[in-house]
Amino acid sequence: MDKGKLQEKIKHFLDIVEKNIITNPLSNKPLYENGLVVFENNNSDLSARDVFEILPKGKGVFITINNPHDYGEFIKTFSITNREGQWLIIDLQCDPHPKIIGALKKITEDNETVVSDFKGKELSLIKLNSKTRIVFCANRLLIEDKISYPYFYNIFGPILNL
Amino acid sequence: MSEKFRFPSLEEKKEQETKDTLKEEGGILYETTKDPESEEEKNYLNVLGVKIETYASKEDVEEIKNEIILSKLDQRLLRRIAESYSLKQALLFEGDPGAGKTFLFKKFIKMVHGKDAPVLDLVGTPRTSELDILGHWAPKGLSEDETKKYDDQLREYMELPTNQGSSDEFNKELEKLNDDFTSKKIDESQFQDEFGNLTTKYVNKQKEQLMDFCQTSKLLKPDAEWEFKEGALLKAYSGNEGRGYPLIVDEFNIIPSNYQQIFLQIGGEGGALSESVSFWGNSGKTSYERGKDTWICFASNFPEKTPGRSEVVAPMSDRLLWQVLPAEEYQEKKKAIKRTAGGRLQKRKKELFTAEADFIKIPIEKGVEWDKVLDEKLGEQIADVVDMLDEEFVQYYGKVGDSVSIQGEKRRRTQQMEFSGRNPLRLFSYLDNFQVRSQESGFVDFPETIKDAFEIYYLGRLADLEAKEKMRSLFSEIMTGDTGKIKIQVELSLREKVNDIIENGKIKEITKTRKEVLDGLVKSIFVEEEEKEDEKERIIVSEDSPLKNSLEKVFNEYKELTNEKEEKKSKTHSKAIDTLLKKYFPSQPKNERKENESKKYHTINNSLKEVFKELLELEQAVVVNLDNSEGDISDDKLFNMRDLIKNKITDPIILLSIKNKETFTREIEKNNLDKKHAKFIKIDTGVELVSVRSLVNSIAPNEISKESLKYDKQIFDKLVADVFFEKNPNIEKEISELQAKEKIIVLSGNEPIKQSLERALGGVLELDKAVVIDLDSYNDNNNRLNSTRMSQAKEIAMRTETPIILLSMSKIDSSTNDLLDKYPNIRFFQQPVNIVDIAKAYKEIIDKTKEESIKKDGKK
Repeated sequence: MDKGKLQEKIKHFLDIVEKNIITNPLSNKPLYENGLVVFENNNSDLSARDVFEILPKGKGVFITINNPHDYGEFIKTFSITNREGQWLIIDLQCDPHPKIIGALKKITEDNETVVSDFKGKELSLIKLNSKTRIVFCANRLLIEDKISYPYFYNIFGPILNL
Repeated sequence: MSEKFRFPSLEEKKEQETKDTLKEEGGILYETTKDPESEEEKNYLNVLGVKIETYASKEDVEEIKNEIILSKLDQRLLRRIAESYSLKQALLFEGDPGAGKTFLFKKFIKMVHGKDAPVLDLVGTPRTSELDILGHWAPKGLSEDETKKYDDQLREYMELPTNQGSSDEFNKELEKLNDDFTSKKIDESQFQDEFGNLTTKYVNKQKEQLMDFCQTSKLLKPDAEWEFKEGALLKAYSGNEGRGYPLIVDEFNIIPSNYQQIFLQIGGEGGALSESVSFWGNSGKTSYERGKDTWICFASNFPEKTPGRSEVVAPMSDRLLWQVLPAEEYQEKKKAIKRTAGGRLQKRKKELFTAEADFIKIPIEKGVEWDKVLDEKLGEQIADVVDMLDEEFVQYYGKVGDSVSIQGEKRRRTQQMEFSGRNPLRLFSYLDNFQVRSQESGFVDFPETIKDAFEIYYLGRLADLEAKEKMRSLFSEIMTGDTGKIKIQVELSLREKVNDIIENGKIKEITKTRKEVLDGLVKSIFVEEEEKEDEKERIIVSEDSPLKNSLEKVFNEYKELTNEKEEKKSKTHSKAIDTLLKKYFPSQPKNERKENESKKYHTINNSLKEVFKELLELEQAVVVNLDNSEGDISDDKLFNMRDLIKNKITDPIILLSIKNKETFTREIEKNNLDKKHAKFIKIDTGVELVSVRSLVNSIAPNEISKESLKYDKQIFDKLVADVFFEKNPNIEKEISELQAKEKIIVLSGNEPIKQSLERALGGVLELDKAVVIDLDSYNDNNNRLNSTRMSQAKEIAMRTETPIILLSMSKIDSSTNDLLDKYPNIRFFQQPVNIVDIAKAYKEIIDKTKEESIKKDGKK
């Protein structure tokens, strides 16, 4: 598939992530979902940066997670993008810190997460901004081999394989 | 048999109202009540009968209620959550992903703490460590820039080989410790101590390394302060300014077993959360006390279905109230969710997701102190039942184990459970707080409460539905079947004792089911309480009671109306009652009354209706309205009353009057009515049936203890009445038959005693031949034995071998003693006498006579 068509596919996928609002099967509350872009091989023509660049300028923020012990950066960036109603595109290059998994799981389940010892508060509730979406981009091999959390796919709604 | 009537108490009515409201409200109710002492308003959340204080506003609760769809499974789980929250027991839900385990936890916590309250959680992953659970050291008071720099440096630090090395070393040591504990090389306290030393060593080492690193990299000033940032567990205990937090530990089974064991500290007394958890920091052992809001709940997937098969460590299983969400039940729920298009189809949603009455159980507000009452007799029986259930369950689990259904195929569970005795303790704690009422008797239903607790603490652990059913059958067998039956010394009625002596020469042992025993003991508590209540003097005040006739007359009508074959009686009973009620209690007063009087009339009228029904149930009472049409106490009726007391002493008599107590008492005294029969009940706004029943019992008690009896002319009649009150529908017939055969000879000038004896001995002893002689003369105040009757007794003794029972209020004299020496078939009893003793004497005489006649035959 040529790059143009792939970009179209990503654009469509991001549209789905934006517009797809599901009803939680356990409640009546509408929920937004996190998206996952899976690169099927290491030599893919596309990268997480390409996914980010398809978004209109200023609509999102791009970060890379490459340290399995770090979660502060993710939480901080998420809190800022969420405040501004921006998207967060993440280039995942390692097994994320358990607290990132935890935050993502809670955002998927209830569109909110609780952060400990953040900005001087013991516990802070962050509710997902209706304009904010989180999209993780990762290589299939990384997901299969490195990610220790066994239900990684379950914490995402739409998944795009490239 | 006639249909039994029971009128609910005010408490029962209140419980029913709450139940109805809860059903209407979908199982969740928000209530605000004022503390009568402090006058402070408090908000409560009632979740399917469990009442919990809430910080949330009514609007918050309503909003959350509208968000959630409660399937049957959810209702059961939500009730479990509320129960364990109120008992401070740690709870674990085990089930498939997406079954709503954490969802329910979170919604419940928000209903208690407010919809915007941050809920403390810990999502378990294979990389979750003690840093997340207990905490870590970090520099204090950094600016935003400094924090960023520190975080960057920390990332570098974490990758350092020295840190990796100490982390691996810690893991190795912890693993060894864990193995030693699991293989029982060390006990729990040794484990806790060793674990404390290990964490101290490692956490402090980590702190030192971090400090060194920060100093080397000149990131922080040498005098920078460091603080310990508590992890999830310590925050749950002492965070929130000491109040603690509810904590949700999600995906618990995939946390490495070493780190799961950190949670062993939460196991406290009685199966509840421990009072504190400890952490060994720089300054030694620090205790984190459990806060008011501390509660910990866990969610876990079936290890058999989890990649890597991670299980919850067995010792942890014992510290948790474990609830399996069987896949079959969850499938049912999933289907229902689909059928409502995820809850969008409101009509279907209402049909499929209604609050189930079965899940709403209203605990009795003031339950029975089961471990203290009746000199601990009830507690002993409960402890025995629980011990039996626990042993049977553990034995079954050890032998058969459990299985989980995977794609329709049953597989033996790999999840191990440990039972070290916390389950029975949890059950006892449940009994303290969630006693339910028996609809049939109105008393506390311990068998049902134990059943509920058994479901929660034992059956909740099983994934296999068939195994659950087996265990339920076991419960029934223990509670109501032959297996659980026990020999028990129960309070027998006099009739039973007498019959036992006649038939077997001794009082036989009785076997009863556990349910019968428990119910019986509970009943005896309430009967005792009723008797205490009866000590208070009361007056029945009826305003122009429509009850114009004595109940005797009404009885006759009732009998006519129900004069059907025995088997049809229960059907005609209600009909007859209705007819009589319509006749004697018209819905509107006949005379025109003012509006406010009309209200009062209805209240009293309703009260009397219930009294009336109650007395019909008793089938032994006379009710007399003493007031005449002018509203005065009728002399005629008082005269009749005296007559009744003199001649029909075995029937309880209920007097009704609108007069006050003083007038009433004066009239009673004036007419020489025995004061014992002039007890009155006051009925104000509601009927006090308990009092009526007690009154009847006090006039003719079911059991008479010798101690409670004083010398009294009526005493023997009372004994007789007691026996007589063991309902024998054929008693009249039996007496007349026996009398016709002249098999009972009763010589007495005292009419009431004579009548009573005829009835009692005829009905109870069922003697073929007996002579009972009352030696006292009527109106003889000298307490002398009647010589004519003595001669008659002698005459009979000379001619027959019939047992002869002599009765007197006085002591035995010398001439009677001579008579006893000469004739072995004569016995003397000074009243008061227990009829059981008479029965024993009768038996002895009969046996002796038989022996002698055998001897005589042998000689011949």
